[in-house]
Amino acid sequence: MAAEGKTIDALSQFELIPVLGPVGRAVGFSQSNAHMLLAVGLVTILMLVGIRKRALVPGRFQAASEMFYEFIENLVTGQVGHEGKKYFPFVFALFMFVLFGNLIGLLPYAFTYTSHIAVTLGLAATVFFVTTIVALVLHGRKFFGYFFPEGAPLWLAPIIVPVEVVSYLSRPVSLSVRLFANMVAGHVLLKVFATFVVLLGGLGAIGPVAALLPLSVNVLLVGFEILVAFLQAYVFAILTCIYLHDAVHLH
Amino acid sequence: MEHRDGFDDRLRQARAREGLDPKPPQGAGGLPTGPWGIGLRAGVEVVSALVVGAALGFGLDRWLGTFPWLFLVFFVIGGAAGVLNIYRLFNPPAR
Repeated sequence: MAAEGKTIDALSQFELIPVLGPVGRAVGFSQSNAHMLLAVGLVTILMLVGIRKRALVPGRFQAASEMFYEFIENLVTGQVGHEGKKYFPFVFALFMFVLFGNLIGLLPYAFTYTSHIAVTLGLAATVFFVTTIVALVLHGRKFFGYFFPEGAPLWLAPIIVPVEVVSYLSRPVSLSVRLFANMVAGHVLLKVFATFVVLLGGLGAIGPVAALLPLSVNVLLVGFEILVAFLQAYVFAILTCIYLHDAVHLH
Repeated sequence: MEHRDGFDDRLRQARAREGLDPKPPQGAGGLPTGPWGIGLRAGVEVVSALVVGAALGFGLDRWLGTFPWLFLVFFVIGGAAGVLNIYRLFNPPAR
């Protein structure tokens, strides 16, 4: 499929295809939505099975769910402080959704919904609105003091305020572009080297030997992509925590 | 469950004695601090601030009919905001 017509077709893997036949076509239900539902289902199953037994010595599922729970709880309390406990469900849901999206996307034939800017920008916009509303509810009008540091000379306000506002508005953009670019770059690289394997493999006697090179690169890349999947979910969660810290404390 | 025979305390002491616990990460808010991590983050921060600034200026111009002046002003402001983001990346505010 990748090497049709002897060209490298690295981008068709991101195309949305309606699933579920005519019903899916009518409501625009694509394989991206299907994978989101799959990820939510897997997270739910992991947590429900994990807490079912409540054993003193945890089994596999309980150990995994407790590990995820404690990891995010440490992250939230470490970054936001004790007041951050009530935002734990929000950060946990975001982290698990992004992590499972990244990991499911690495399986063959699967689709990576975090490789679409629409999805990551939607998540980042949610973070942006939640943090802004939290700050407005907690601090009221004092929130706007965030855009002008105390002690700065007043005549600098026409310069400082627009720069701070643009810097604040750039948060959801950088948050979403980082995740989206990492996932797209990884999957394009995998596809390009996989295409090299097929193209070189067809080069007569020397082909299979030469094809070993891109194949070994791909093996390394898959390991690297698993690292990136965890790392980007972690970065997304920790940046959400940092923004929540700013919203709660308004330093 | 926490205080059963002080097991957690003894485990923590044993782990510290054997040096099994990784040191807490030192960096900007616990974010990855490798050269690639910092470099990619810095690039994304600058470009996103620039894009937001330019888009804001362009939108205001469309609304007020003053093309290209606000676009130019906000392009510069976006660049300044990008530099500010980089400054915050390397000097995280004290908390």
